[in-house]
Amino acid sequence: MSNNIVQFKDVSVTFKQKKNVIHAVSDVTLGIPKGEIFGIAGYSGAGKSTLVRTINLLQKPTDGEVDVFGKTFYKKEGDHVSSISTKDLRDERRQIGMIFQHFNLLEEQNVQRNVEFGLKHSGLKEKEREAKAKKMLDIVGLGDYLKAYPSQLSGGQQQRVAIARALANDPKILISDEATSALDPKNTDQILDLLKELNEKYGLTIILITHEMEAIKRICQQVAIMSDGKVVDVGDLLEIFVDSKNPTTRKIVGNSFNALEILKSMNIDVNKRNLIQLTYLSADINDPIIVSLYEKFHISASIIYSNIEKLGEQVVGTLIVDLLGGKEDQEAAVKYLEGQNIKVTELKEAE
Amino acid sequence: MGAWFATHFPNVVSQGLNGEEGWITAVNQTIYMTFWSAIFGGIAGIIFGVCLVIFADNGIMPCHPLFWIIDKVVSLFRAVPFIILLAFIAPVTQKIVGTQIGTTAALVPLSVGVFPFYARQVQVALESVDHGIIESAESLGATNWDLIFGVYLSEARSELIRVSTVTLISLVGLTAMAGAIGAGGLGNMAISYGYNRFANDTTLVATILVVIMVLIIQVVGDVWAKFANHADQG
Ligand SMILES: Nc1ncnc2c1ncn2[C@@H]1O[C@H](COP(=O)(O)OP(=O)(O)O)[C@@H](O)[C@H]1O
Ligand SMILES: [Mg+2]
Repeated sequence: MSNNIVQFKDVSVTFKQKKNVIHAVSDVTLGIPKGEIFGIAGYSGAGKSTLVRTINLLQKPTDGEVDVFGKTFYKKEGDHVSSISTKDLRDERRQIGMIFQHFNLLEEQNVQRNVEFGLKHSGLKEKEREAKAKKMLDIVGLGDYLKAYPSQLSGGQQQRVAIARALANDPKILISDEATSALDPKNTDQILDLLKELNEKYGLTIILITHEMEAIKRICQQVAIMSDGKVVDVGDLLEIFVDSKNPTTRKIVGNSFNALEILKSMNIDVNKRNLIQLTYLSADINDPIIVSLYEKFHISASIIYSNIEKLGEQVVGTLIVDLLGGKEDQEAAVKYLEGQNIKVTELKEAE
Repeated sequence: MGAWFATHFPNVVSQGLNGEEGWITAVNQTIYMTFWSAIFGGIAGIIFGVCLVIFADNGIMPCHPLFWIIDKVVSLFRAVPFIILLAFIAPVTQKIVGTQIGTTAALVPLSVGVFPFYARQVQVALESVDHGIIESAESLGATNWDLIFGVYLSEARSELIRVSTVTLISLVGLTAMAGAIGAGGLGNMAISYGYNRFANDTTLVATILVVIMVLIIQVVGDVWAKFANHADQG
């Protein structure tokens, strides 16, 4: 029916403390499509970890329903709770890999034993488990480190071991909870690229929790923005980074695509000038547009700001120009630009 | 040397080596009491320590009533001074062993005396295992059994060796006290044959032997703990 591998329905999680009640997750309804890399972004404390921990029931929801693989893992209606059995849950957990910010490897076991840990109940014989562990470590590029202990490895290497361990049971979902947040930029990019490769090669659905928007831009197809326990915005990268008007989203994703904010920071009063913003995917642009504007419409466009940014596979250009020329020519020029697959936004601030 | 020793340590020499009151007998008795009460008290201590961790509110099988009971039992037994426990538990010893005096009879109060101390030490050692490691093991579908043996006890192993060393050393001290109620061993030697008979040389030698035992335990424990630890190698 639905193509969502994970479906949250009105999920809430509250923590009762001595004095106050924390609404870590409030009424989240969200579907995560199969085979995608789905980002969940938001500031620290927004409830991202708590939400994803309800997927494999490391955290029981206080309310609502969580469906995974089309099965209802947990459902609470009024006072009635239905939950999958402990044994089934353990089996299902092996189909949902999870990696963490601090790697969480067994410090007293070598790399190979770490990967074998998750295979204990796989039905594989000892020799087969060993072979599987070796294979997984080869995949993440650590085939030479079988006997090393985690403390002898770098952070990036430890996270690779964690990935090999999480994927040893061939899960269909991988949850990455701030998995790159403790790594330097180079290791971060390498781990993100590895996740992307795993997604493409094995059709692995990846849920990427992060507060770093660069990570989302690099590999996600869709992203949900969380704030104060709620999902406040969902969409593909263009919808979120470029088009979203949601104030929380804008604050989190930054303003590199948001002309009004950029101009404000440059102390330019938009209402005194005739500024327009052009947003386009570089792949769509064949014409030399600035030259064409002049040649076709006698419009000279002076460039106030320009920026190129990579969003996943796409390269998004943002251009703010001051159009100088006759009014009719201007209108025709805008039509021409729109015909070139360029999004044109007039920059006027409501007074 | 022999003559010098006989002149300065006459009482030590007159105790003999192998007789009922001899030195080798005393050392053997101390080792016997330490060893067996370490086994019994140690097993009980590990079980109670593990229960204290897994049944706690943030444990892997939270169970408040069980936690409460075990916690109180451990606290209660820890609160009883050992010398009083010796007397207090005598009827129980009589039931189990058939006598209240002697080395074997001392195993009952020694085991009961050491287990709550050890249980707390085990609890602290296991609590030092990072919660994130437990959680990631759970996310891999680990059973409670896997978590107890494959994560808690395994990850805390070098900490467990350290606390076991500390416990064993305090157990040697307890055997000396048990010696006072006729359990034999080096404690008995130091008090009954040394102190009570104004034989200071006997007390001194008994003390030195106890210290040597403690040092051996300490060194072996330290080396072993270091050997077992893979977490802190850089
Ligand atoms: N076990 C817990 N007990 C009490 N409060 C918690 C617990 N886990 C999380 N919280 C609180 O819930 C909120 C959301 O936390 P979290 O899901 O970790 O956010 P994020 O992953 O987005 O940083 C925070 O206010 C946090 O302090
Ligand atoms: Mg978090």
